[in-house]
This record gives sequence, C-alpha cells and structure tokens, in this order.
Amino acid sequence: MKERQKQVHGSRRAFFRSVAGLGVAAGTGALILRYGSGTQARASGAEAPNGKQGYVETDHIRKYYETARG
Amino acid sequence: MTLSQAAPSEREATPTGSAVPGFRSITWFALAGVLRHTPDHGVLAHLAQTGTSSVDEESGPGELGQAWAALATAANNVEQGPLDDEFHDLFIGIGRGELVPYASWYRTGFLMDRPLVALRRDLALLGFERQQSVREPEDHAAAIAEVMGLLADPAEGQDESTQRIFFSEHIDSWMPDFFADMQTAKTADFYRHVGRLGAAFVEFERGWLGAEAPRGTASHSGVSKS
Repeated sequence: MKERQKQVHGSRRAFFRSVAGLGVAAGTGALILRYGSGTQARASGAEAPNGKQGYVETDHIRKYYETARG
Repeated sequence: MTLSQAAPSEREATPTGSAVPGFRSITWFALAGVLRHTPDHGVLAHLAQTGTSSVDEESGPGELGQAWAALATAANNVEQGPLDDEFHDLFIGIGRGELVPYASWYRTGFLMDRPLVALRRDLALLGFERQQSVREPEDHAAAIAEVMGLLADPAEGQDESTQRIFFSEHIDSWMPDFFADMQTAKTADFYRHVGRLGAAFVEFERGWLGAEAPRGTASHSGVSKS
C-alpha cells in the first residue's frame, strides 16, 4: 500500500487522469480475442478455420505437448 | 502461485474511482499498438496527444511521465517510411530481426517452448485466444500487452490478484530485458522511446500490483550479437 500511495501521490494523479481520459487508440489488427468471462475454458473441438477439425488445441493436445517437452 | 491455484477468496476487488486502472489499460494498449506492427498515423497521433497533454514541467510524474513525453515527441516527429524500415529491421529482418519479441525466446532461448504452453494454459483459463487469422504465437510481446490491457480494463477486466499472477509469470519474467534491449538496439530510433516507456511502465506495474521483482535476469537476450 505504501508503494501504491507513493505512485499516485501529489500531482501525479493529474498525469494518470489525463492519460486515462484520452481513451484507447491501439490501432487495428488485435492479435488476441476475448471469448469468455474469465473462468471457463473454451470447449474443445470448436470448428476451425475452413471447417477443418483438429486445428483447435484441445486439452489432450496441450497435455501431449507438455509431456513431450518434459 | 499459478492462475489455476488462485482461489476466488484471495482475489481483490479492483479499486474504483481512480484514474490509475484506466491509465494502466491504455498504456498496455499503446504498447501493443506499436509492437504489433508499424504504428499507423492514428496511433502515432494518439501517442503524441497523450504524452504532450499529460506532462508538464511542474507535474513531476517521474520517469514514467518523462518516458511518455519522450515517446510523444518521437511520435510527432517520425515519418512513416523510415518507421516502416525501422520496424522491419528490428522485428522481422532477413531471417530474423535484431530483436526477437517472444517470451519463449527470452526465457529459454527457443521459440514456441514451454513458456508458450504455460501462457496458452492461462489464456484459456482467462477466456482469451488468438484471433483465427493471426499467425503469431500468443507469446508475442504485443499479444501479451493486449491481454494485460484487457485484464486491467476498469470496466471488464480481472481482479488485481489475477493481474499480478499473470504479470509476474508472463511479463515481468522477460519484458524488462526485452525493453532494455530495445533501448540499446542498433537499428532502433523511435523504438528506443518505446523501450524506455515499456521499461518504466513494467516497473510501475510491479509496484502497483505488489509483485515481487523477478529473480535474476532472463536466460536469453533477444538482441542479435552478430
């Protein structure tokens, strides 16, 4: 908490406010997509691009990778 | 502690009524915007506006504010053509760029290694995945910055315990070295300022989230020694 108070003390608040007030302009082409609320993994076997099956990394495939890499 | 071990009772509520969560989210998105590909005119204009409007001589915002101001000046002065060339030389190159912007590379010396597996596990737990059209692995610096920006989003983000775990595991474990390399890269000009902001901001985040400093340094530098 002390560290946090130090970080926002005094006129630094104005700095945070002014940056926060300008909003986001992150550009186009985000790499990441949010699909869930944060606690549930996506069901495996979802349809892949072009309708191909087996593209999505399932829990089984993930476990295989982890095992194979020791 | 990993994300899957974090019990809901240990999670903290994100403080409200403060500009800091918004500032944090916007700064992560700004970093993602310049690391993903060459920033276009809109992103550069936003960076210029953000830095110049937020810092003055009397506000004393420290290194973080000065880094924002320096990046704003650079964004205001840079030309698109040379910036395209700089991005290519830094991150793409012939064979590889001067910097390799992947967590796996910095942490193990190999691409698509165990840090990527661990990241994918945590992204699934948090409800994120790679866009289907994207070929970059999820441990690209821009992708991780995007995720942290979403986690820190005051409206739809995650609690700070979750943010802290994600930050410690997937950001603080290598990005300080990445941003340090960026500041000294031979082909960097505009990106030296990005590296400075990134380094200052990661330090700020460590303090804000109460994360422990990483032990030692990353095992592998992304800077080409040739």
